[in-house]
Amino acid sequence: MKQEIRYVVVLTLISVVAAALLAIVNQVTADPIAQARRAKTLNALQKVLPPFDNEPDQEMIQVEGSEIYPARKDGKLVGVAVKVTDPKGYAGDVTFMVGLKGDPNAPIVNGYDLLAHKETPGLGTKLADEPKKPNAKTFKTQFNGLAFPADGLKVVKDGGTIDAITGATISSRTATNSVNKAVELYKEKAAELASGAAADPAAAPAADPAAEPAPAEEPTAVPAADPAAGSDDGDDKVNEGESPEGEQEVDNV
Amino acid sequence: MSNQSLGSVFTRGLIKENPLLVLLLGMCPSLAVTTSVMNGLGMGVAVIFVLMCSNIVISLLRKVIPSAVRIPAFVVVIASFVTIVDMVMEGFAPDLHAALGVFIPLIVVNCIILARAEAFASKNSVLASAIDGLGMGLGFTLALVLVSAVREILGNGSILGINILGEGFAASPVLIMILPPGGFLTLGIIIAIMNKLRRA
Amino acid sequence: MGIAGYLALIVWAVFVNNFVLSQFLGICPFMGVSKKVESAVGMAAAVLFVITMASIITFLLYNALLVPWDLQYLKTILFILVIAALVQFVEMVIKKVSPTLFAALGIFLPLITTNCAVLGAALLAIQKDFNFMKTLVFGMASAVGFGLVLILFAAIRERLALNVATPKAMKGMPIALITASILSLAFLGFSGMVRM
Repeated sequence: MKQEIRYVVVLTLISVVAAALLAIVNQVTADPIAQARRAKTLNALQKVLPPFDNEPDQEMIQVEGSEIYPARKDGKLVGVAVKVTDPKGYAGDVTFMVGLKGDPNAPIVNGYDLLAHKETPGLGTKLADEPKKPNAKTFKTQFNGLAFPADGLKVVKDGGTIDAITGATISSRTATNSVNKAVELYKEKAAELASGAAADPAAAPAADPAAEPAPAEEPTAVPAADPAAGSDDGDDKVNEGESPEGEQEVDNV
Repeated sequence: MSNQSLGSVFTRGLIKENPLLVLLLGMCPSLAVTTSVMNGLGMGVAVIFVLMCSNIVISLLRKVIPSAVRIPAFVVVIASFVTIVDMVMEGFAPDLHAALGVFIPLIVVNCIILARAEAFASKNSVLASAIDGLGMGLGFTLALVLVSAVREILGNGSILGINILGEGFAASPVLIMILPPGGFLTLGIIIAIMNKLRRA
Repeated sequence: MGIAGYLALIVWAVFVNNFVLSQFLGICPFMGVSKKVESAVGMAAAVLFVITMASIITFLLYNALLVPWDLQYLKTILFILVIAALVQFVEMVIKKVSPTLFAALGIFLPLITTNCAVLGAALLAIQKDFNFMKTLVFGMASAVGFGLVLILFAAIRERLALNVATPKAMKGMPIALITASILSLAFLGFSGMVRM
């Protein structure tokens, strides 16, 4: 009996000390962990957005599992970055940060950054390849400064313009699908994004409150979004119907 | 073990009793994370830390812990240090943390650590246990670096991310080496070479 | 998620993302208990049982205990203790209830505590944010995948042991690893078949 009490006491003491130690370490590392996560997002934003002076991650809007980061310069919307996860990668989810700028109805794709994936090394991972020489081309460079076509991006095999990575068509499609999704979300939230600075005074500390730039932006952004939204939505639905079917056909083969 | 000098306690883990290549312990992480030298090194450093710390603490507590409950006690000590490594790595080396993934918490069930606690730290002084932990940890790291160097050179044409076999090779490397089959193959051949050398 | 979703999860866990051949979980028992088909079957059954139980218990404890108190960082410690206790408990129950089953599984049970497939299944289910049903199906299917390749591999090794031409330095572990490599190559053919 005495022995058993000793067992319990020793084990309890060890566990309590262990838990206390971990609680302390957890406290100490909580901040660096949060910072490391934020740094990863900020780094991706810097890669895919034109120069900005706000803090896009403070103004982030969440929509259906995606995240939209508006970039502003002098209070004016200069571009958005959309974090999109495509579940149709070769081996699972592929997450991109897609940069877009210009008119939401005819945006310019400003490149992407590959955030997370489980694709095959040496094939699907070429999604992330940067050019080795200044003017060299990789899969990724096709998306730099690309005018978004009205009927969406597709790889050549599906009748589009993007050259797929050799041997990794499925991985390549995740990039085009994600850009299409990003544009769709950009359109959907265009009004909200443009007026974001006005709605959130803390977000634009540099801007002069008297010369609020956001109202000037609204008349151009909102009416432009409305009439075109009808026709473009129609196009988009056709696209959405097409591409998932195409994917499934491939799956079954 | 008192007749062994501290020097031999340290060196035997490196080659003669290399935990991976001779004792054949800890194979899961050595196959899973050795796709690049950086990952292999990162895992090695994590294991050195956990092994040294758990050896020291278990040696300190060896007279306190009743032998009937020693295994759960050891496991709690090991799991605590593993959790510390996990949190510190996530904060200060997030990319490495992401690359090693679930294999960091799985250091808990790495047989090397429990084996050293049971076979050495619970019977020896604190200093000897610390040195044993360092030696075994370094031996494991050495083996991980060896396996990952072979796999990274052949599978990616590079070492520590620096291309060494030229652009042509890097464009179409022996991909299979960084895929799962390459892990089994590399480890099998390295162990066979070790066997041959030890017998010779 | 409908029936099709669960079927996909099963195929994914058994073949595409096989614990041993593509995830490298449970290599120690895979190499250690694969010399005879008979013992491989015993180990496979014991692992199936423990992984299923451990998945259920760790899921419940994680969501009922750690999440409400914001103690997620204690999961590794908690899970390994639960698994160790579970293995002990299962051993005692089987011994009482079915001595025949105990005779068959008994010697494998203590080995399971340090089988990283068990802890791996529990941690991966949390990492992937699976709900209860998915955790259960994932745990069971992963264990079936483990058992399947363990038994396959044991059958190959039984034959391999008869081969006298194996060079001396290659005998035992090296040739086993190279065989596993070829088996893993075959399973690579499943990749991309189902995505999760």
